[in-house]
Amino acid sequence: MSLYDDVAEAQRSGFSFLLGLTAYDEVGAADEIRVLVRLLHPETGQERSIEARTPRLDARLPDLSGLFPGATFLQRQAHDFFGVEFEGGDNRPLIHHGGGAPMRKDVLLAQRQSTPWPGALEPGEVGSSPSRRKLLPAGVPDEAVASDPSATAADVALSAAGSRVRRGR
Amino acid sequence: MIHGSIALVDDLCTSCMICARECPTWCISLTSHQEQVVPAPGARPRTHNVLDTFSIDWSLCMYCGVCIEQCPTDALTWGGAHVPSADRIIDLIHDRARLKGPTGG
Repeated sequence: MSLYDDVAEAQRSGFSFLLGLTAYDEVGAADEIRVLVRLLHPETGQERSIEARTPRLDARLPDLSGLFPGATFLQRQAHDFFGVEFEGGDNRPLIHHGGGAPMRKDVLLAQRQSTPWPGALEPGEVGSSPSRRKLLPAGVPDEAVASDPSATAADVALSAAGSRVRRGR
Repeated sequence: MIHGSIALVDDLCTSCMICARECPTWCISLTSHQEQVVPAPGARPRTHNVLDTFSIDWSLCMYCGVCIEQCPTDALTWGGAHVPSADRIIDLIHDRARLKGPTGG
């Protein structure tokens, strides 16, 4: 069943309100983009989440604007940020006009690569000396990975996940 | 407390770098040096970090409060009032003296 059929069936069974449509980059777990559609049943207040996966290299899914006209806005957003093509739908840039898919985990922010990270200093240090501990902030991959031409998108995304100082409490 | 500005209680700061490392926008910069003190005559000297400079760049800060939440010694607190605007972007970098809030040291 395609995403369109799943959503159409849910709509027929009363989930007639579109709460949201968003995407998630599964890189590392799978070479796929996951697109999530959340629907609300206005009478019961019940919510349903419908998802579909599409390959990262050729991300395409059916257009849902025939079912929910409001999906157009969210689809264009998913197209801007995750590069998901909604076949037959409106894929013009909406928020981000720079091209590419900046919310994919392997896309690195150029400024992060050129700005020195304030957290690179160790306690008790004044100047930036080569740190004994290898701490990297989120968004900056290990140099070895960044300069390796054979590094895959998953390698870059994993390396750029950052080594947090403290995990959640 | 409103997410208006962040105050530094510098007596409590141990220069552990956790705030600078946790900040998602990289707006906190601090430097420190190490000093030795002898707590009592004849005791083993103890090394501790002494804060030299501490600054928050309010042009980058998004007032999320992660630094306040993560600070292990509660040296960062919500400062109450909003950060005033400035004519030049460099004036939005507040140093230690300007970060002393009403409750600060």
